Amino acid sequence: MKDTYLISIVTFVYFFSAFLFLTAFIFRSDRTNRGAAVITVIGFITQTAAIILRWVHSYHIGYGHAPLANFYESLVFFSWSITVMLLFMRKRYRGSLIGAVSCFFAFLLLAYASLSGRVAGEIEPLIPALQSNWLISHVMSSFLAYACFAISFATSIMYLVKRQEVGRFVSLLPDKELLDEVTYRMISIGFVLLTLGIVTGAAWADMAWGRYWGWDPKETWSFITWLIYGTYLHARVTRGWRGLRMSLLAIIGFAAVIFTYLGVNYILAGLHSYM
Amino acid sequence: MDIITTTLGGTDGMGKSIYNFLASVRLTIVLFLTLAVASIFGTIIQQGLPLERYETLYSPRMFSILEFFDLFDMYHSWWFISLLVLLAMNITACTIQRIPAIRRQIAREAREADDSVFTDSRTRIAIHSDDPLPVIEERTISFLKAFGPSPRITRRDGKMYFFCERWRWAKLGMPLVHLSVLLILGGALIGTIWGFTGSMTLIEGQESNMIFRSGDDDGVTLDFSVRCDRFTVDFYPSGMPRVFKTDVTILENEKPVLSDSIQVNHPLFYRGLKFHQSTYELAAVKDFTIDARDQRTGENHRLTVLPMKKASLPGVDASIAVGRFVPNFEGQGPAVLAVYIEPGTPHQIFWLPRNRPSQAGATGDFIFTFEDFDGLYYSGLQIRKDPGVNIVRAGFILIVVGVALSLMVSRQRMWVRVETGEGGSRITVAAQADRNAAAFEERIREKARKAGLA
Repeated sequence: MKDTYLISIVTFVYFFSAFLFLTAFIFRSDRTNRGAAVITVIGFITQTAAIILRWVHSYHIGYGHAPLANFYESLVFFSWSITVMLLFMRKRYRGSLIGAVSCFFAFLLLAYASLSGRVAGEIEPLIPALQSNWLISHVMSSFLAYACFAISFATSIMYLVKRQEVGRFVSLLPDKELLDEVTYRMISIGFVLLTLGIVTGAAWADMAWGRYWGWDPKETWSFITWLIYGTYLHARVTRGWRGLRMSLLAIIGFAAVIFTYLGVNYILAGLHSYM
Repeated sequence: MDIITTTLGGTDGMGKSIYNFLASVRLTIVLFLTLAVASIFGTIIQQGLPLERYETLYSPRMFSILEFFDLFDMYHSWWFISLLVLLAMNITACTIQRIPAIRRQIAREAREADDSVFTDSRTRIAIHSDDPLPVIEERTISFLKAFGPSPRITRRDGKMYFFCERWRWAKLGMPLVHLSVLLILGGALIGTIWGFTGSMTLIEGQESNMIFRSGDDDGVTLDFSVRCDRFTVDFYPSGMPRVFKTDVTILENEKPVLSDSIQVNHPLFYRGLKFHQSTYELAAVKDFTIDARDQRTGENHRLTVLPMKKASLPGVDASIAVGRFVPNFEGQGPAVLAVYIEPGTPHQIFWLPRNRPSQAGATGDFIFTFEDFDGLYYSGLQIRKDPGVNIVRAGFILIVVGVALSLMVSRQRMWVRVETGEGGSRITVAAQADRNAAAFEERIREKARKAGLA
């Protein structure tokens, strides 16, 4: 079976689990929440299988590389990373709304990968600069970091809505302290992974291009992202900032993530333009 | 460290307030956000182009503003470097200021509890028990063992104190991160001052000891030379390069000392220099290999066709030549414009993309396939000397360890006090975690319940 076919199935599975999570949230149903989690796990296993299948298949056609090398593959892996973080988080936070939003993110990424005319699903050969063992660690840590930041973005938006403290919908939202804690946890883990992603990227650039840092737009934007989340962590841990300012930083941080991921490729020119 | 603090802090108000300003996290936040905003400009305005290019890109007024602020090479401008230097000072001052506190937290002596922890800690559990003391003691130890190494037991004023702690080394995370940022900045500075980047272009068989640098007419002369023995490039069917590499020999006093091949992602290290494969360019084609299949006999003839020369076809009075060569024909890889020459008929001209057969000749006797070509290439090597790179690498490793220590590991401490009186024992549990206190508290309460302590 073709991996792209499996991925299009997973797209619908994630949409379905997002819908179930939302139902569980609105009707406060614990059973539906658990059902949604099971559906998410099924989607996740299928997606993992699709990624492995694509990896194996790339060897059959003679290109032989991890499926982390073009835009399509990065969208699929980004979506996979969000589900990983959601499932990891469920060890402690079982909130339906967080589940709904995460699954919806995962769905959107896959839908864009499968349906957009701009994204080619074919396995492509690697240019010499990409043929490196650093590829896997660099891309994996970067996208797992992006996934953490995506979830922290969602929880900070919820936090801002919760601040209103009026209306039936607002009263359904998780309480502010929990949202604040999840945001902080996700940003902490994301920051560690982002640091790892930047460092492995720099080590790789040193091997491939002969310099570890060259202020290429992608590098610069990852640095900007790092600074914003660095500000968040300093402000929170040492200066005890809470509330509105923290949520705004988390939102600006995620805007920087999106720009690092997409804006740099679509708007600015640079060495990373192949992805 | 206390001495440094006093010296730097001074006793006079002025010095102290400057020091406090430099050590403040508020300054860190301002610097982080300023660096972030400033960096954006460098991604909007293309960096490092020749000045004439900017004159065409911007209006004269805009041009002079941008030039005034060094925005055409802003990451090396005086003001950007100053921000980084200020950040380094900030990190240094802030770390020095906090070292005594960190030392106290890590020191073993600090582990002893006074009674205040049982009233101040976030997590507190107090229960009454009628069980005999040895039973309580055993229960407490097994409860604490679930969290860390063997608890320390002390007796004071007729009360029993248990203490256990784990991951206190997490406290080293913050100074480690700060140190590694300083290492990275310092290593980068060393590389900028004493290092260089240049290039060398070699054709097969050629040797050189000259490195060229842009904007530097003299370049760098090495006291050894590099010879290009062979350059090879291999393509995907799409015409995209798959692998390209240069086999080189290093010559010291005209004597070969080392032979190796340089490939993208596999540089060659020699005497503090790093040689990277960066580009290549086709200088000339030595010959083309074209297959001619005779349709009548089914025989296949492999012809070597030299540029600008005819190659006669076997068994007939006709020949084939290459009129033009294109290294990448419409993104499909190399192709030749073949010329079929038969006396008495007009020449026939047709494209032969590599590996795609095509027919020619009025009688259709032959099918031609352009198999391959043998090229002569220029190999572009990039040479880098960076005496700071190992310091930067150390910084890279330490920053990952440090960030992980300070954000994912938290020091956890637990105290249990047992007061035994007339009507049984009173057990008080106190727990503190530097991070994720809520999750930690939940676990403590659960374990305490299981151990019969709550």
